[in-house]
Amino acid sequence: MLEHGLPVLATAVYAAVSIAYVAYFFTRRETIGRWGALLLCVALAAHAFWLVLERIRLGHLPMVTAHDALSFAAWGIALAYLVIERALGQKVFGAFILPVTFLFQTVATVFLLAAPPPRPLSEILRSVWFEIHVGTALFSYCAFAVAFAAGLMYLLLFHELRLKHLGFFFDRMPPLDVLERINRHAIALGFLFLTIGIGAGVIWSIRARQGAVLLDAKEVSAIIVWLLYAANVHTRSRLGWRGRRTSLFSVVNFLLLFAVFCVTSFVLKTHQF
Amino acid sequence: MELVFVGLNHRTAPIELRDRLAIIPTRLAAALTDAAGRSGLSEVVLLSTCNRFEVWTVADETEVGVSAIHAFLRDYQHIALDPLAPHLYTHTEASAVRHTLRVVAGLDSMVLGEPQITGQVKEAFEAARAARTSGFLLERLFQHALHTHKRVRNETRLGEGAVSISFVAVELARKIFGDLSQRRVLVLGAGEMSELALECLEGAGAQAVRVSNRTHHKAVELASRHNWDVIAWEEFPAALAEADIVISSTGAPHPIVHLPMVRDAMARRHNEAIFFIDIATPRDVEAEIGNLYNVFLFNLDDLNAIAEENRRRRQSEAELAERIVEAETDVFMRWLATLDVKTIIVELRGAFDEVRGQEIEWLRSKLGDLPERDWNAIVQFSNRLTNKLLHRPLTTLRETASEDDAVALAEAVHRLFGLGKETKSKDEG
Repeated sequence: MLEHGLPVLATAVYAAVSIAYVAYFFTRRETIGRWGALLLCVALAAHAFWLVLERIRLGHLPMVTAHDALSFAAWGIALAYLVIERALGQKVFGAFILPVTFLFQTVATVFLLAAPPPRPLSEILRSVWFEIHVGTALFSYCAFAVAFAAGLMYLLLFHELRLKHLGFFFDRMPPLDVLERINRHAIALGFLFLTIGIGAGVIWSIRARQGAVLLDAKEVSAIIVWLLYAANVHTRSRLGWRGRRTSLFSVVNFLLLFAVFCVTSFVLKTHQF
Repeated sequence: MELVFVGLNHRTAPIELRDRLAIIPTRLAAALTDAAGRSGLSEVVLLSTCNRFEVWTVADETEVGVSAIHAFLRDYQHIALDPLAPHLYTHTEASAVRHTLRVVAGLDSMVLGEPQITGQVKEAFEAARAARTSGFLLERLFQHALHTHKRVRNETRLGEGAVSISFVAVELARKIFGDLSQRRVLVLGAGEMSELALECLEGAGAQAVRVSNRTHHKAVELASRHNWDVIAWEEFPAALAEADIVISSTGAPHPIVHLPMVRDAMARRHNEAIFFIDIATPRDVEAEIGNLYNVFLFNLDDLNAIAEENRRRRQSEAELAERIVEAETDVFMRWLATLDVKTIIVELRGAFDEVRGQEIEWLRSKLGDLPERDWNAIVQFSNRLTNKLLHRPLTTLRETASEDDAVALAEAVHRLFGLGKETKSKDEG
């Protein structure tokens, strides 16, 4: 009961946090913003506490099953957001990124409820390389989620500026330059960690399989995602893509990433964990 | 004790008259002392800005107050009353309270919701405090006006959205670039318009400024006034690559910034965003440039349209703000009513009588059947006791009713004896 009850509760809390931040975005009432921030801190702390308990119980961080991985990513994104909120001193960003947290946690919970009970962890997964692999990959997803939110906000504000009809988004959004910088740094950081994650995965896979390299759907998709973000980075540094183009690129990339992750994890289930 | 306000503002008086009435800060203290020394006035605050001149007083009676203020204006400012009178407005009681709240909230300003006026009123009160001419009532009104202003600011969008084209340009620049302190500005044309927009940008933090003008010496003139750099007119197309914000306001009959020029500049600046502010008529920057990748182009019409839209939005927010002012005026008036000496005397008596009655009842239940005569004596005793206890305070209240500290005393009595509790709890609810 408890192992189903907690994720459902987490989903509800992340939903409440998202609603509070979206409501704050629309109404710009400080009271709502403060409640949202408080709720977010409580949610983060409770989730962190649960992660620690699981780490002790399982002997490794709970990010092996697709559910755990998504839930872990949801926590990571919310944490990354909190850091950004403190750095920017603005809460508007939350309306765009916290719903992603909610989405991740919801999908995670839905699949947990539909999935068979967890199998015990196979021996080959008990490896430092494996933990580095999954940890960094998930961290890169968090960074890409941040880039997605900043990109989306950039596009909305840019659109309003180009129409020369300033209103809703103009009143609420941080400057284009700030959004672009968040987007750029998040993509760079995410790409770095994705690269490390894939590298660690390859090393671990070679060790675990005694040199045999097998490409399953998830590994192929990881390479596709890596290529997409490599293109995202490359078009910026080499082709001088800026603002709207890089933002649009990162938004599309993230949607693809999410779709690919869901398909390979929950539909094909080819990866071992 | 009446609030009596006399004044004029940008709507009721022409600028020449406002200029003649204006009091320079160094002479404000003397003016305050002069006004407060006139018989009939007990508290005085003077507000003198370029858009308004206000004399806020607490007077013994309305008529006396108005004529004392008129006399002050006539004597101190050496202005004949006859030509002045039609431009003056007079506010008393609730109308005076409403007026103060509206002024402080920026609802009475030329630009709705402009923020300077609140600071100016603050300064006026500081000056009055220093000259010891403000008192309990005006101070309380001022605090209430600040509270109302805060509510207006939190609950409405009255002060949002620039309404002058220079500030619209600054807001746009901030929305595109964020922090402007690292941004480089290029000015084409040395006209008054570009100077104005530039001063706003500088106020917002922009630092590196270069000026270019077809007639070189005019650029030098403008630049030397502000410590900016000058570049030759022929060099400005090359300088586009290094500028983030370009303000253009030349008198040229045809566009001077052409599409290939900007395309070339964008390639050299690796498509980093550039913001063109074209405030020239006819236009200086070709319209197609606005479609280029990562180029933002706003011309005079665009800026005007945004300013106009913001004005409309402020107007609709003003209705909301007026409702807040109305509600807060009521709150203040109710508080004021509790300070009326006659009311306080009645309330104080009532409060003592209530306690007396309760204690008599208690005694009756304790002592049971006593002869009628004894009872009468006890009741009489209780009456005498409360009357004696109240005699001194009530006399003092009556005596000070017309003195300066009457309001403060009334407020103190109110709080000491917990009078008007019912009204208070209703307010809070």
